[in-house]
Amino acid sequence: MGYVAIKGGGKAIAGAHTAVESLRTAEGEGGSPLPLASIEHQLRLLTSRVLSEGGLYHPRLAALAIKQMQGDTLEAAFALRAYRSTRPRLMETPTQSTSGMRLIRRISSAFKDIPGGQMLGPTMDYALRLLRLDLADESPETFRKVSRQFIKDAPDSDLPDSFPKVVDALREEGLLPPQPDRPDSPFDITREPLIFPVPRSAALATMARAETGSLLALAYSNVRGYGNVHPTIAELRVGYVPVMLPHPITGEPTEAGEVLMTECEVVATQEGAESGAPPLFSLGYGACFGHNEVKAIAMAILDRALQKGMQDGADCPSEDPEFVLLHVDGVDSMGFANHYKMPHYVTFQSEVDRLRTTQEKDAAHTKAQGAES
Amino acid sequence: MPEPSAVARSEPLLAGSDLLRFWHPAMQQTLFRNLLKAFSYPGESVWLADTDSAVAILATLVDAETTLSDPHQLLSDLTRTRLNAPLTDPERAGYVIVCGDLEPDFAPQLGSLESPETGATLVVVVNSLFNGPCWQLSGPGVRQSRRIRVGGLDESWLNARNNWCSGFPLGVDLIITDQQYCLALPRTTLIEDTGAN
Amino acid sequence: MVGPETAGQQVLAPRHQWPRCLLALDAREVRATAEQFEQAFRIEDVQLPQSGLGLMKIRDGALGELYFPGEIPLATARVRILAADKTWYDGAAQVMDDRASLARAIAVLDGVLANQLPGYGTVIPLLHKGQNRLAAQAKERKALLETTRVNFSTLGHYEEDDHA
Repeated sequence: MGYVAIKGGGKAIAGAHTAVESLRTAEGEGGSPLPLASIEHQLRLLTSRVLSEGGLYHPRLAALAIKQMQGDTLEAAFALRAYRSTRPRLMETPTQSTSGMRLIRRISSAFKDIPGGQMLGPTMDYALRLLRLDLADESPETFRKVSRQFIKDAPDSDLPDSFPKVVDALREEGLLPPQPDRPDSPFDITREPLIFPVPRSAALATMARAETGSLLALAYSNVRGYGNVHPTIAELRVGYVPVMLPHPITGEPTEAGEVLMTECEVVATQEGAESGAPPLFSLGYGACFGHNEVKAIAMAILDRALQKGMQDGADCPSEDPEFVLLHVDGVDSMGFANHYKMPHYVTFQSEVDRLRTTQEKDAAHTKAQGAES
Repeated sequence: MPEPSAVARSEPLLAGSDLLRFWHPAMQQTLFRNLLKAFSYPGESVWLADTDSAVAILATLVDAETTLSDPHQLLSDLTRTRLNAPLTDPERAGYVIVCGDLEPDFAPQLGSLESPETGATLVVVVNSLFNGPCWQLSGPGVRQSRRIRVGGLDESWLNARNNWCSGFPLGVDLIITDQQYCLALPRTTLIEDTGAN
Repeated sequence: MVGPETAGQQVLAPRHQWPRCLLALDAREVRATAEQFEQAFRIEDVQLPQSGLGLMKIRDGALGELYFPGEIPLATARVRILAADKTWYDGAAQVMDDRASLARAIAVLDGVLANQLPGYGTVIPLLHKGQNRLAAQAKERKALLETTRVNFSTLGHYEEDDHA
């Protein structure tokens, strides 16, 4: 690809910034700017999506990015990535445990009776997808009452803060192999380029900040037929993971804050993995910042598919680490698509020239042949 | 929300002996410019601080993501805490601070052909940057040649340094400092002993 | 977790929960409380308050491998406080926040509380307030679980438990 230095766009670009802002504020007299808190709460799943794709757990800045980018998730995640790149890294945290997650939702589709029980939490899984027309004209009073009433009516609860993980219980029962102790330091995708083959930690990190739609498409291709993962969800949980950092003076793990995460383990049977070998249960793992269930499930399916691909070679695109990991990043892929809008006048002109030359040669050739016959 | 003036809110710092001033952003930017100048003109003495310029250099270059070695125990515990860098031995560290009047009896990182930038930076603390044996410098950043006199450096230093830097682009970069000034001897600089005292 | 407003008998949160309790409050309140100690003591920064990011590391649930799901905001501060007995007392904080100045205020309160320096009593109501906020938050979260708890029962009897 070639680029050519041209000028004359400066004023147009400045005008474009104003034009974009004018549409953001075009609601007119009745309009008022969106408060970040409203985006964070009322558009919580959008905020979750952006902060997970941005790779930075910062709900407030994710809300700001959504506001600034007028709801474009790709651009919002891009802005968050750009912001993170300007900040110094103060530390790599010690290993955080998701088993201490303060849950708001926990289900299993593999086992009815999981230790601690199943709790649906805030899910739309069982809701009819009928438009609620009453929301179109919601009064602030009713709006504020809903949450207040829910808390007021809340029953006293004897539930613990956190729950055991289903896979840990399965492991204790001997249904899954014990977790090997792996002390290796994980791959840091924010510092190292992906040069294949990459370790699984690079795949997990890449998928955790991948674009939800891309991840879903590839996972769907696998389960629909271009692959052989038949997943069952051992556990899907949503909750707040306490971030424990050593106190600088005492060294005692001290809570610095908490991170909302979605975590999913799928169990899948490998069909005909090796000829003659008995089919085995194996696990796929997905987890990302925010409340993003489809993303966590898609990631778990792909993790399972990639494990197979890394081990025995890929039989379909979703088992190929290079294919999956290089095509799921939203900032990468949108950037590539967007760059085609940049001027390519010289490269394209040379293509036009080449085409003309070929056409002329072709015409001359045909003419010569015509003259001969 | 990020706040631009986070540091401005913290207590005004005591001048003079309190070395924490070396960690203030404005100070670090000045120090960094000065180090850049020193590396641009090898052998030129550049003023850094009233005192403790070695700490000023490390405060500017070192943080939790670099490694540091202090084999001669030149840094106080407080300074080490502030530098926040993992301590290791001089064979493995990215930055090594040493006392110039001791023999350099270690083998610093020289980098690899693929990654010569992993060669160590050595901060060598000496008595004087003005009186001592005379060396002649040439190479990038030096017009024709330049003569420097460094006092209080063990005589084996020149050989050791020239050996480490003999396989360019591998090598080490030296920052020689007294209490106030520093001069840089990047690996690109050729150093010859003139024999003069 | 501590119950609702029963100030007076409330158990003081352990040190490893102090930052969390204080973060649950309005930052202005935390700063104002820390400010009073600035006047009472000489407080020096051991490390400059700083804000940036931490790279979060977790263990995956399938194979137990470590990986980085992403980054979190982080502010750190470390101070020392000169008390009347001419001793320096240390305080520090690492919080998931962008505000270095807030981390510093929490570090001051950490030093005052941990060493029970004169005036530490004024911080305790603040901690209790934070504890109560967190208790209310925990109650909200448990309400989400409690109201959606699934009671499985086998089909076969001609009654639907759900309508009971």
